[in-house]
Amino acid sequence: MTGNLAAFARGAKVIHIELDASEVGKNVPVAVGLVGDARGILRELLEALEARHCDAWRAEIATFVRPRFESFKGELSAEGILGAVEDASHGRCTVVSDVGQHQMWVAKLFRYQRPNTHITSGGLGTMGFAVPAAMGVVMARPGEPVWAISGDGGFQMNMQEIATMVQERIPVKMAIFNNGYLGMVRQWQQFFHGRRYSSTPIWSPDYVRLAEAYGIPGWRVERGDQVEAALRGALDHDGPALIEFLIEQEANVFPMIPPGASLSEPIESEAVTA
Amino acid sequence: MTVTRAVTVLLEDRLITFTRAVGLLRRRNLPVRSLAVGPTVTPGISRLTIMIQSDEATAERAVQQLQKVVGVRAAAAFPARDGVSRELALVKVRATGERYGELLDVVQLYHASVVDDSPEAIIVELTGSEAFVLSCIRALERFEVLEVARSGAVALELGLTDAGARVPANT
Amino acid sequence: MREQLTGSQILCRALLEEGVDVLFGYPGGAIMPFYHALPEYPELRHVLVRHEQAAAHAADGYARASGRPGVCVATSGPGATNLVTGIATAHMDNTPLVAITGQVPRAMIGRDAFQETDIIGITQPITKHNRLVEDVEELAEAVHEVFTVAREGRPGPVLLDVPKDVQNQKLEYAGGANGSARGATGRREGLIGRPTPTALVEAARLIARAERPLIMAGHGVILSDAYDELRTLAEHTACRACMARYTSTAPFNRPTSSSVSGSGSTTG
Repeated sequence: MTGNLAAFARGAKVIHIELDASEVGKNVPVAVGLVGDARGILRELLEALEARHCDAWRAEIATFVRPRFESFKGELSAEGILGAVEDASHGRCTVVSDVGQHQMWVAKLFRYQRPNTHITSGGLGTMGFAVPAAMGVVMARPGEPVWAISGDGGFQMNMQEIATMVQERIPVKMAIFNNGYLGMVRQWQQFFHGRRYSSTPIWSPDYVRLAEAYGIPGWRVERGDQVEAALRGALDHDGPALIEFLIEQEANVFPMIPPGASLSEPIESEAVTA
Repeated sequence: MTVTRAVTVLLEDRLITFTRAVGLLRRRNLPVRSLAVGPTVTPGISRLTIMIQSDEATAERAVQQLQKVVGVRAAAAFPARDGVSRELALVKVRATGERYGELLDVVQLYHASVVDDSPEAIIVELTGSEAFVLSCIRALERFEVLEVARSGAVALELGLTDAGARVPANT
Repeated sequence: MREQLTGSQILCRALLEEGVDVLFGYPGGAIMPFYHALPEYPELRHVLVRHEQAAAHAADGYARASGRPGVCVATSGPGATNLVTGIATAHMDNTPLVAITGQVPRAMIGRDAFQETDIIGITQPITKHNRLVEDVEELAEAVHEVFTVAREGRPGPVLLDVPKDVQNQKLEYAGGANGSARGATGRREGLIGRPTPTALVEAARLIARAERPLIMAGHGVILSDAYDELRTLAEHTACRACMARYTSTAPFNRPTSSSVSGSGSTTG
């Protein structure tokens, strides 16, 4: 999260609010450590502070927020798909993502309305997490849709759990962002390894037929105008369902922090290649 | 500032707890110089003394992490110069007839003692700070040292503080 | 009421006392006695997975979504080692995961028995605590100990290793959760600290004088259910609240929020 530690927040004074004293100052030097429960500390801080205005800073921030259009070609875009997922559930759903490019899109593009509705392996970055974790989420939050969003690589790691969903009647809605690659690694190979796609092209079975073999409904979406119907079908079905999205093969996620670089040196677009 | 510090841990006297504490030292890459573990006067509790070479923040963090280990009763750290640290060494030296007197002189110089007087080899026992022990071993090297067993250091902080009473810093 | 129960039955009872209502697992030789007792406790719903790794991830997902410990069960040897990735995942994200593994009978431990592994040793670096149950007499207390450790302070995964013969041992069980960690550990209850008044004043001073304040909000906000306080702080101090990766702590549509720090963020 910090990128290159030496360059992280240079010149900034860091206030670290942390439950575990042994974590304060572990990676980033702090000016003030506040050890304890976050809620209690925030309340105490609020009592000690007066409301203030910082219009200049607010204005400056507004200039940072640039609309970014993801590099899907054609009408099928990450924003489009995720926006449609959110619309279809009227904002009342939980998204469990796997690990990779799609995880980045889910983290930044999904319009979360409620806290703790994006569940993902952020620390270890475990591929294959989404499908089984989503089963646990459904058990904890029955009565609201739970989406397991994976890439084609991560999906294949634990797709055998569809059998569990069927036998135990656990209605996970699965979405596969299929680009035929281990996308995140491929992107790094494009930018830092001269486009040598070593062991990143990955074959997938016919997911719609796979769904059929498991006795659950499946859809394949190749164009933007197919998205809504597929989502509607999956959500209306009383049980697990699967949608495969055939997305742009060499789509990239931006901004990207090169290895060893700091947060202030991101790669912003395709135009900049190493 | 990087100096030698003693980290003392009072923990349950079970191999599993010891493994957890030492495993933590390895995982956090702590710059360990020596380890010594032995019983305390409290039944079921052992004392682990770790001499490390670090700055204060690293030592404090090690203490806080050790305190989180289930089975650890207390942990504390202090710079070695704020306490007394000692280790024991047993040194086996070849006993050569002509130079035997010279050897005994060195032993006496270091307030060490001969604890075994076999015809071919003698065993010298000494205690002292790490520097003192090293110096004696070097001095004995002229007489053909056959084997050395060093215990690692134990340490106590000066004054009224004790490892069992230390409460974690809350910044 | 005292009754003669097997270790497996005591384990089921202790889980119920901890408020467990679902387990994700996969049976095998060393955990068979537990699976034999399980149907006697229908309030414990068991979900049969297809790979133990999925059991661990499912329990993790359950814990993240409910805020309560998630429980997974596996047999010894390969069953237990298949949990490792899931336990490590929970460890890095501080989720209260409770893994229960069967183990070979006590007399066979350390002799390379069929389907034996030192899962305690293997998972030591990736669990907050783990424990091999040495006798049925300590089983209930061990269950309560690991649940307490999983939940308290900064949550994390724990593992309980139960030898097959301990699952079969009989004991007169009086029941009742004691809810406290093993007495002999002397662990301080209430590990949560408090900031010093000086630190709070200094923090407030720094914030008040900051020209470009930025809040990076992470898992602590979720654990503490401090979303409202976070929002208020952001609005009061004209800060931008930026969510740490993937934690969705602040609602997207507020002017004070931006998502994600690091690769893939919406602001530079």
